[in-house]
Amino acid sequence: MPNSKTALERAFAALSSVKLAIVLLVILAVALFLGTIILQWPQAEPGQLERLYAPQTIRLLDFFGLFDVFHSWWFLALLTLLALNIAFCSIDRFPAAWEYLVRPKKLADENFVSSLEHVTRIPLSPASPYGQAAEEVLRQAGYKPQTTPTTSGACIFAQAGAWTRMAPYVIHVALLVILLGGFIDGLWGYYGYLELSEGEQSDRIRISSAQPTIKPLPFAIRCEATNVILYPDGSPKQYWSDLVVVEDGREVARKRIEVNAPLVYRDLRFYQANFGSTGRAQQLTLRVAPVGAGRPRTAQALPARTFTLAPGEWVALDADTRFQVAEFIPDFEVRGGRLRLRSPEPRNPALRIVLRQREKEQDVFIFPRFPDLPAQAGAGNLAAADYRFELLDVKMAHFTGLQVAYQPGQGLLAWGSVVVVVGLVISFFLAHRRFWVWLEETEAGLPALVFAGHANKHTLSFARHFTALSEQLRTRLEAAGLPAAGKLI
Amino acid sequence: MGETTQVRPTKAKRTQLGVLTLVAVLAVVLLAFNLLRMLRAGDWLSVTHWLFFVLVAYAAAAVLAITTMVTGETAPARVAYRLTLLGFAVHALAWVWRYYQAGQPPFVSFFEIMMTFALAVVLLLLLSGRWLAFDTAAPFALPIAALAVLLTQLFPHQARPLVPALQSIWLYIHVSVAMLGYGACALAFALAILYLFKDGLRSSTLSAWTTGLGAFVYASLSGFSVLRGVYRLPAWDFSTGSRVRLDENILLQAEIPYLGWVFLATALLLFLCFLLYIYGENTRRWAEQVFPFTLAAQMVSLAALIYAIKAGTYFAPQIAQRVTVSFHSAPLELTGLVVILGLSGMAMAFRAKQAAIVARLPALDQLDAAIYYIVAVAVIFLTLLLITGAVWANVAWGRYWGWDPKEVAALITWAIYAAYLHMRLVAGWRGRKAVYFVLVGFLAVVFTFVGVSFLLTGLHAYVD
Repeated sequence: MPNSKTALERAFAALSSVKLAIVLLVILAVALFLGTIILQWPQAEPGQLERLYAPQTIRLLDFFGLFDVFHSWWFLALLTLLALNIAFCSIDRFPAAWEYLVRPKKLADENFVSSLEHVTRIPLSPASPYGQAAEEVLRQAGYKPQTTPTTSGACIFAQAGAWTRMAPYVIHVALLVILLGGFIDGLWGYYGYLELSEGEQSDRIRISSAQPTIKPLPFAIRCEATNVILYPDGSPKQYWSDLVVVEDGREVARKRIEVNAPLVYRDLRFYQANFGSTGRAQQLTLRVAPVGAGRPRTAQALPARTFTLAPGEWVALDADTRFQVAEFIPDFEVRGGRLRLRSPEPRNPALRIVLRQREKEQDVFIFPRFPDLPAQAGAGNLAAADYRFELLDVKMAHFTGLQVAYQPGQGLLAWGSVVVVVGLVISFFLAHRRFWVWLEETEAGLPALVFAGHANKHTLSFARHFTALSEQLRTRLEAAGLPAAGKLI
Repeated sequence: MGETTQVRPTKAKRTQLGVLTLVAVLAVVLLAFNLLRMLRAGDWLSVTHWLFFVLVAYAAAAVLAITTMVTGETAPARVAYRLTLLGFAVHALAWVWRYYQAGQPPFVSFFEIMMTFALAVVLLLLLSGRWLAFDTAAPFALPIAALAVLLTQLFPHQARPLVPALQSIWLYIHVSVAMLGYGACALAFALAILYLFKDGLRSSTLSAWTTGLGAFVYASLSGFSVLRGVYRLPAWDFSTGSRVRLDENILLQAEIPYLGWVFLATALLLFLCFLLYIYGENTRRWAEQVFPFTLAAQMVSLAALIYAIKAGTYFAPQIAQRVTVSFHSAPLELTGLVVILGLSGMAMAFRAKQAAIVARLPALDQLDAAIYYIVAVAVIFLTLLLITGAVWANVAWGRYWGWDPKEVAALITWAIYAAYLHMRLVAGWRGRKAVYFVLVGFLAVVFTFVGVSFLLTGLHAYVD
C-alpha cells in the first residue's frame, strides 16, 4: 500500500528526526564559530570594523548578516527550528518510554528471551520451590518481585529504575525552558546604565539599545560614597559604592555594592560597572603661611596654619581676612598654545583662591606642581598677597557607573539549568533494570528455571550484577535440592 | 627436558630495549640540565622549573606508552605508568605550591590554566584506570598533558593579583569544572584516535592529514612570511620578561636569516608529500618514499630554530638595531612545530606496524562504549561549565550571556559533543561518523583555550 503522507505529516516526521537535530547542532556550531572569528558589531569599538576589514569584505559579510550573527533573523530561526525539533522528537518518543512505566512487561517468553543478552538456565528437581527462592534472591537485592500466573505456571518479574526512562524527556523539556527564558529576556528584558556622582540621586536610567532611550524607574538610587581599593602595586583590588534606594521619598534599602555583589531591588539589579573621578574636588587641604607684604621672609616667620575646606567655602584667617578656593582645575596642560583640561584626575592642578580683606578682594593663582612659581596675583585691589598658599591634599569627588539589568526570564533559566544537570546525571548514571524468572521444560522433559535480565545502560556493571544474582539463585536452589548433575546452562 | 635453548631476542624486544635506553639517557640529560639551571639561578622554589621535571616525566612516559602500543612489549608501559605517577605527584605538589605562593588558586593566567589542565588530564587518566587500561588511553592522552606542560615553560608565569571581577567563589567552581570537563574531552580524543585505528583507518590517510596539516603550519609561521623566505620572531626583553611592543598592536620583530628558507623548504616538501598522497594510488608509493624525508626536514627545522634562538642577537628592521629573542617569543608556533613532528613520528610508526597495533587494540564496541561513557561525563561538566559561567557573569557583569567569544567557544564545544551523544540514535551514524565528532570536539576545546585568547580579544582573555 503506497504510503502517501500529507505534507503536514511529512513535516512532522522530519521535525521528529534525531538526524535533523544533529544537522541543526552542526549548523549551530558553524554559525557560532563564524560569530566568534568575525568581529561582531555589538562588540566592536567605533571604527574598528572598518579598520579590520576591507570594504569589499565588509559588504560581503554584511550581506549575509555576519556582523551581528547572534541577533540576526536566521540565527533566531535556527534556534526556533532546534526548539521545535527538540519538542517534536520528545513527543514522538515519549509514549514508548511512558509504556515502560505504566505497562511494564511482566510476562516473558522464549521469543523475548532469545533477544536478551543475560539469560541463565538452572535445571531443577521437580520439588524445588523455585518461586520462593527467586523471590527471596530478588528481594534481598532490593527489588520488589511480582508474580504473574501463566498457563504453564507463573512468571516472576522485578524491576528498578523504570522512572529513569523519563530522564531524557526531562532534560529536553528543561532545555526548552531555558530557550524560553532566554526568549523572554530577549523580548522583555533590558540593560541600562546609570552614572551617579557622590551625593547624586537619580530615578532615570539610560537603556542601551540601537537608539538609546531614557527610562524612568519607580524609585530612585542615590550614591552616598564610592571609591576604589588598590593593591600595593597600584592596580585596582575592588570597587565599591554605597547605594541607597529611595522610594516615595523614604529610604527603603541601602547596600554597599562591589564587583560581584550587586544590589537587587524589585527585580532590577544594579552592578558596579564603572568608576572614576568627576574632576571636581570634594575637599582641599591647604597650608596658609602669612608673609610680610614687601618684606623678605625673616627667620621668625609667623606660624603657618592648615585648613581643610570644601571648594567655595569661606575660611577666616584673622578678624579681617578670609579666603576661599573659588576654582579648582584638577589637570591642566598647555597644548597648541591653549590651556586644556587633560583629565579629571588631580595630576596637575591649578587653583584660584580669592582673598578678601575688609572690602578689598584679590585673586591668587597657585600651581601646586610648580612650587617655584610664585603665586600669581590676579584681578583685585589688594596690593600684594599677605599670605602664601600651599596645596597639601585634595579629595576628589568620584562617580560610580552602575549597570542596570532587568531579566524577567531569569527564574526559568535557573530552574531549567538545574533540571538539565540533574537530568543528565540521572540519564547517564542510572539504568532501568528488569528481571524475569519462569519455568520451562528442557528436551529431557525436566524442568529448568530461566532467569533473564536486561538493563538499558551500563551493560558491563549490569553483567556483573546479573551473574552475582544468578549465582545466589543457584546456591539457594541447590540448598533446596537440584539434580546432582545440574549445571548452569 | 633439561635443554636450555638460547632464544634470540625478537625485533620487538630489541626495539623496546633501544627505546627504553634512549628515553632513559635523554631523561637523565634533561633532568641534569634542569638541576644545573636551578643551581645556577639559586632558585629551588620556582614552579616553572619543577614543571620542567614534570614535562620530562610525561614526555618520557608518552614515548614509552607509544612504544608498547607499537611493539606489543608491556615493559615500557609499566615504566610509563610509574613515570606518570611520579610526574603527577610532583605536578600536584607544584600546583599546591603555586596556589600557596600566589595566594590565589592557579586559575587565572594562561600559564596557570595549562598547568591545571594538564593536571586534570593526568588525574582523569589515572582515575579511569579502574575500568580503562592505562596502556590503552596513555599513548594519546599523555602527549596532550605533556604539550600543556610544555606551554607552561613558554609562557610568562608571574602571578598577578586578582582583578575585582575574578574575586568570587565562582572562580573556584567555574574553572574546576572547566578543567575536569576539558580533561575528559582530551581522554575521549585519545580513545577516538584508537577507534579510528581499529576501524581500519588507512595509514596513508593518517600520513596525508599529517603532511597536509604540517605544510599549513610551516607555511603559516610568522604570519605566512616564510612564504617569502622571511622568518621573524618577536624580540624578547629579558629584563622585563616580556615581548616588546612598539604600539598597542605592533610587536618588535627580529628577522632570523636562513630560517625562513629552511621552513619554506620543509613546508614545500610536506605539501609535495601531501599532494602525492591525495592524488591517487600510483603516487601514494612515492609519497611513502618521501615521507621519511619530511620527518628529517622537520627535525632539521626544529633543531635550526632552537640553535638560532640560543645563538645570539638578530636585526630588527623596525628600529634598525639588534635585539634578543627567546623560546618565549613565539610559544604557540614552537609548540605547533613540536605537535606536527610528533604526529609525523606517530604516522610513521603506524605505517610500519599498523596490523600489529590494530590487533592489540580493544574491540571496536568496547572502545565505542568507553568513548560514549567519557563523553557523557564530559557533557555533564561542559553543561555545568556553561551554567556556572552564566551565573558568574550575571553576578559580576550584570548579564548572564553576552555572546562573548569565550562563552560562544564553550557553547560550540558543547554543541559538538551534544550532537555526538545523539548519533547512536541514527542508523548508520554510529561508529566512525560519530567518532569524527569527538575529534572535532577536542579541536573546539583547543580553540577555546588557544584560539580565543590569542586570535581574538574579549572579556575572557587569559593574557593581555
